[in-house]
Parts: sequence; C-alpha cells; structure tokens
Amino acid sequence: MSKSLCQENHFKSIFLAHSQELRNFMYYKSGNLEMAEDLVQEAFGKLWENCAKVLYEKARSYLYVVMNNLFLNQVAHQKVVLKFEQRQKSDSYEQSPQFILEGKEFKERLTQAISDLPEKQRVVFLMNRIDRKTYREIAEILGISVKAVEKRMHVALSSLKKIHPKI
Amino acid sequence: MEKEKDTLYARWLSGELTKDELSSLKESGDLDALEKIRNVTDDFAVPGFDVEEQYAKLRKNKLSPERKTRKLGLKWWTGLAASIAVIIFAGNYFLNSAEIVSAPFASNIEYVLPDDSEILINDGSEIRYNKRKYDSSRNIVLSGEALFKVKKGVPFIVSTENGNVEVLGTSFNVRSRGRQLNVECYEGSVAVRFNNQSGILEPGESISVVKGEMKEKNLIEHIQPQWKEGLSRFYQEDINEVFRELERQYNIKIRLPELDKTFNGVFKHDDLDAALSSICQPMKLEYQLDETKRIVEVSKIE
Repeated sequence: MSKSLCQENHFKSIFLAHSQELRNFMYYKSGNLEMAEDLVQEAFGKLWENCAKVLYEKARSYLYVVMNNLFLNQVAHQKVVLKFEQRQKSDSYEQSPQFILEGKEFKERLTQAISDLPEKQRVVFLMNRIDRKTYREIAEILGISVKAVEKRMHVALSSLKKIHPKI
Repeated sequence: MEKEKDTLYARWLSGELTKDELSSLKESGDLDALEKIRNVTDDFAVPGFDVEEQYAKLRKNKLSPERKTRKLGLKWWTGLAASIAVIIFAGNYFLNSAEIVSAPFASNIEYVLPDDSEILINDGSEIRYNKRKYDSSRNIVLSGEALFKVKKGVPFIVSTENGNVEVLGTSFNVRSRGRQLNVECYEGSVAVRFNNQSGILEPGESISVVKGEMKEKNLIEHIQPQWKEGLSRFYQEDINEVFRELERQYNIKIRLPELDKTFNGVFKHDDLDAALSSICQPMKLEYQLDETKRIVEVSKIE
C-alpha cells in the first residue's frame, strides 16, 4: 500500500526531500528568489489540500507540474537577473590580484550570459551545474527525452562559450 | 557520428565523448572556453535554503485551515493587474471544510468528533481534521498532547510531526512535544508508526519515539493520562522539555541555565511551588519566583 500524504510525517518527508530543488528550479526559471520560495509554499499547500488524491510516489512530479502552472499564472515575466554565490572551498591558494580581477570579471559576464539564455536552456544548464543532476534525472523531471536535454545543454554551452575571448 | 554533433558539448561535459570526438574537439580550439565555463560554474551556488524554517512557515500558513487570505508575496506582484489576483484567490474555496480546535495555555478542551469519538485536548495543543472527509478517513493532525476515546470504525489515524498512531477503536493518549512522541494505551490496541519502525501497544503499555528512534515499550499503571488527574508524568524526558511542559501547564515563563539531564517523575498541576520543588530537588536546582508569580528563575546549586 502506498504511503498516505495526508499523514503529516509522510508529507513532511516529501518537503524535506524536494523543497530545495523545487525552489532552485523556480529560481532558474524566474530569477526571482522570493517568488520562487512563495511558489514552493503554494505548491506544497496544494499538495496538502489534495493529499488524498496524489500518490506518494507521484508527489514530486505533481509538485513540478503545480509549480509550472503557478508560474504561468503569474505571467508578465520580467527579465531574468540571476545571482550566484561562491561554493565553499576547502582549500584556498594564493592568486595574483590581476588573476582575481580577470576571474571576477569573467564570472560577472558568465552570470549575465546565463541569465540571458532562453528559459529552457537556462533551467537545464543550472539543474546540471548547480543541483548536479544528471541528464537522465533532468529529463525525468521535465518530462522530455535525454537527447532533448543534451541538445539544450549543447546549445547553452555554445552560446556561453562566445563570451570567452579567443586567443 | 556527424549527426551526434548537436549534443557534443553536453556529452563532453558529462564525460561521454568517444576518443575521436574528444581529439577533434581539442583541435577545434573550443575546449579552453568550455573548460573555463565548467570550472567557473563548478563554484556557483544559489542562496541557502533553510528547509526546517520553510517547513515551519508552511505548517503555519498552509496546513492550517484558518487562513483567510493567501500571503502571496505582495511585494513582487504589486502593479500586476487585479484580474490576476482574482484568478489566484479563486483557488481558495476548498479550504472551508477543515476544522481546527486548539486549547489555550492552562486549560483543556473536550471535543466530540462527528462519529462520537472523544478527544480531550491538553493545554497548548491543537488538532486539525477535514470534516468533509472524516467519514471515509478518520485522520487527525495533532500538535501537542491529547487523550482519545475512539469509537469502532474505519482506521483512526493521529498524525504528528514525530510519527503516526493508528487504531480501530480504543482509548489512548498521544503526546508530541519537541522532537519526542509518547503514546500510552488504556483500552483496545494501538499501532505506532514512524518511518519504517512500528510497534503495537496493548492496554497498560506505552512507547516513545525520540528524535526519530523508536524506544522499547514500557508498562504503565494508570488507566488514564496523568495530566487528566492533575499530574504530568515523565520517563527519561529531556529536562528542558519538562520545564516547557510546566510553563504551559501554569502559563508562566521559566528562565533556565543550560541543562543537559533527563528527568523521571511527576509534577502537580494545582500547586506551583510543589511542582517546582518536585522537579528541582532531584535535579539539584533551585528556583525563585518573582512577585507576580509569573516568572521563575531556575539556577544550578553550586
């Protein structure tokens, strides 16, 4: 028998497992962190309302569908501006100021270029780069083929590499 | 191979290129740029996400049926047309069949469910359930502590953050405070589940789930929860939880030093001085009441 989502501990385990990736997913789509977190709350509120109708195993894909629909309802999409933080590094090493400056500038240009990617490419690219999801996992979540994910990734990388000056 | 070119960079990134593909990619001169993108984005992270805090927010705003409006981040969509707001608020209709009953501090509430099952809700506790669905699934969400007398029927489930209790018809007490769940069975039998662990209680038995781990069963002598008799009983309970229970019971504020002990014993509900000394004495603590008798300062005996 499937676990009931109307029981709070089952419901909570779904929240613990998937809320962050859903928030990230919506952030990549919209570039709006506050909205992304609001929509996570909305989506889980809907899951709770419909707890008797949704199978435990289907909860994750249900949440993605709800998030997408809520996002479409918001419409009037604004220009996406993403911000990234530095992942914690275990070892730091000495770098010349010149090198750091170039690195910082490149990072800014890259962030801008990622923000400017078409939404579908941007989402695939960041799910892979930041959430470390494999192409297969991304394909499952988005309901498309692995090949389609690879294509989006390829096109994304093709446009991003243009910001690198050829020597 | 030529037709696979439209996924070339993607497969390079995931390390799936053939030798030939890799060497021709090297010759193309694009590898530098790709590697730099890979290395820089390797260090990218998104702002932190406090999942427990977010869950607490969800529990407060969305799992409770009392909300009248949606807090939909007004800040970011002010300026959008009112018609969009109408679409969003239209989703609000389902919520009204939910029932919520909470007992304030320092008092208990007796509540009768649609099938005549009874709940006595201890102070500072709350139950929620869906009135419309109650006939088909008797599911009660509990925060805190309550005594149940359940009529025979379809399975009756008490859901808490720390685990679930499932019965057919019986009398039992459920306490879910902090990260601890305690269930005592007085009649019939009771199944307690948490994740993959489960235990069946017969009359006169109790069981605890502490921080996600189910403990051995214990025997109890009383035939109703002690808080109903005006006593709170604890078995190897975190001392901080015991003081929190005392705060709820007397609706007072207790200031504590840092304590790392467990407490076995009882305190009375009708005599604050006696209650305080029955906890403090065995724990080598002393206490002081302020003039209003609302604030207690507890300290260690040097």
